[in-house]
Amino acid sequence: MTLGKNDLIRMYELMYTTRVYEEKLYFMFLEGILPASIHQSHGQEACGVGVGYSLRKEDMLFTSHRNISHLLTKGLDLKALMAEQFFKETGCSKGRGGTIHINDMSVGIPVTHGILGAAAVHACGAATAFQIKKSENIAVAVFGDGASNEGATYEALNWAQVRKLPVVFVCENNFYGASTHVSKVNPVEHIAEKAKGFNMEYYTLDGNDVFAVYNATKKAVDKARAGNGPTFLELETYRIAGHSRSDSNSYRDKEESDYWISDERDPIKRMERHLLKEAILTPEGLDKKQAEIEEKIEEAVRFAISSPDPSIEDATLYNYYERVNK
Amino acid sequence: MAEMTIGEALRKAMVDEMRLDENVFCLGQDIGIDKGWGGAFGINQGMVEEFGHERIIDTPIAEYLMGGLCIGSALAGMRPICDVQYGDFLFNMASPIFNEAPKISYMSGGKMGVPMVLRMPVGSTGRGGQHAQSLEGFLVHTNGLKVICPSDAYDAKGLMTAAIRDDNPVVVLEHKLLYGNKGVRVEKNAVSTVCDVPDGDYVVPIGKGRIRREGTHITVVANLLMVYRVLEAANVLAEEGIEVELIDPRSLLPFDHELVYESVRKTHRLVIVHEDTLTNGWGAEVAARAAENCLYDLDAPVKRVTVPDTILPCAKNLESFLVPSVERIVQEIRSIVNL
Repeated sequence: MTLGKNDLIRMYELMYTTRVYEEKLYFMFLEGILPASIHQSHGQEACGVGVGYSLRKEDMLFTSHRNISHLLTKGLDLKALMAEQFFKETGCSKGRGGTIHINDMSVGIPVTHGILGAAAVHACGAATAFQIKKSENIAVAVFGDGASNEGATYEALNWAQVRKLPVVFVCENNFYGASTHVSKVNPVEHIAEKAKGFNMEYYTLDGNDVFAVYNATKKAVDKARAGNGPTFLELETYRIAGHSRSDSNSYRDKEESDYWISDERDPIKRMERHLLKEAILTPEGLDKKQAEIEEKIEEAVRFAISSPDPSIEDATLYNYYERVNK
Repeated sequence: MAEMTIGEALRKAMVDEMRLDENVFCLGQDIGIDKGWGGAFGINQGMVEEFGHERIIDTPIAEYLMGGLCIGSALAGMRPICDVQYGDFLFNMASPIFNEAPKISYMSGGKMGVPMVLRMPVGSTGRGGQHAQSLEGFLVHTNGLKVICPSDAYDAKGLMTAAIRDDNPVVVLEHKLLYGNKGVRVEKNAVSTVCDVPDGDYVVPIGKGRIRREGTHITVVANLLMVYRVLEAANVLAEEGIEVELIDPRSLLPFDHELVYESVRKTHRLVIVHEDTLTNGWGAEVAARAAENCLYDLDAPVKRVTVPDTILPCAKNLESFLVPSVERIVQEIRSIVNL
């Protein structure tokens, strides 16, 4: 699919929504309104939007804890997401999951896990199901540079290539696993090179360029859908915020962060420049779009705050799945 | 109606369900190799010939992957049955079994479940510390999981069918000495578990125990191999005029505590026999519940007869000493009845 003007505007909306959503969470966290910590993807928005935009609704996306852009692009409801952030009954996981355990199977989001490595093996499971059923659907595993070193991830890469599973592995390399720099725990310059050992096609891309991410993912998705097996994509990006809200990034190299944290490399600023240069949006149109998105976020916050907490009587409900729960 | 071993009954349950439901499939190590074993204990024999390599999937020796394949495929609408080869390897798939699969329903607000069956051979058979554990204590502490432990062919077929149809993760504990005393892979000291299995469709509900022997003097709760040792012990004791009521819980999670209470209210004595080690074995929970719910019905202390708190040895004499024998069970029951 060639991206049209409306696609570009939509991709921008999704990136900007993610940015504003997370900034809003951050301020609410500082104000003490938000009940828990957050894991911001500030600076990584192009990854989730580029990947998510290349997928069909029925495709299954397995992601982890830095996930807002993936979830929104796949089609998860903004209010249900925000309400889950506040652990409310109206949240997409009814307040039991929180942001790390988000789900909406109607848009291909099985429950996300906080256990690194799980996404890759779960995606292989879904891909195995699609292969058995001769379905056109594919599975995508999104994980960070940290999770790329989990044994489970290697088990998944090995098996996916052996079975030519309809799966795409997306490693968002934001340079830090919590506070540990990627170079301290990897013997290769690019994480993607590890896929070579599994005889798997692999690429390292600029993860802050939403078009590069989309194009590469789309190609890998089409390949998987055609039955030609998995691809490993490494998206180089940067975690502008800390690991979680208490992290001040004291361990970061200034030269590195100055390079990455700039208007020139910011994925959203880059997209804005493109939209204006190609006259897809006027400056006024861009302002209007931003104001609309900011209002949508405010509306989601009002919805979340005014929603009821889960009922005490239901504290142990859902330990076992019953079809009526749906 | 046909006479079957547990091994044959487990296979029949899987074959019948795979014929009935195209979403059921098997995965594991060495289960579908052409001219191969049909799994380490031969339970999948003949299945690849009928269902092909697409539905009888040989995995690498990668247990986290195997657990993850179960979860992911279940989320995509399948009903996987995983052969864990030796239950002891569950620690290599600890994250999917303890931290992922059983939590998906709760963490999603009850919106999704993962129907998956994990078949785990257990039990002491001279294989030592890493191939002979009973593992029950670890598993029954896991909320969101179900654990079953059939001790004869009828229950094996019915419980396995129930497990495959269940929408939650179910662990099947299969005792290596109970697979049967016929077939290609017969263990030394294998016990005959042959009984009649109906040809047609039936399930044994998960969470319901069964009275294997009626008696009036003492309630004994035992599972898997210990069911057979207690039955032997009961015959010895019957000659002394002691009538044992034997309950096989058949499921360890959920557990049919009510059946135990009813029996204890009749016999006023309770002994629990299991092959898992003593501390925090499932017998500890049965004893605690009995204390909470029928203390005043008891005429004697509750007694647990188990493997003591130890790693299991290979040496036959040590293993025989540690695993409850018929003689030890007779003595322990006698001591409680004579109090």
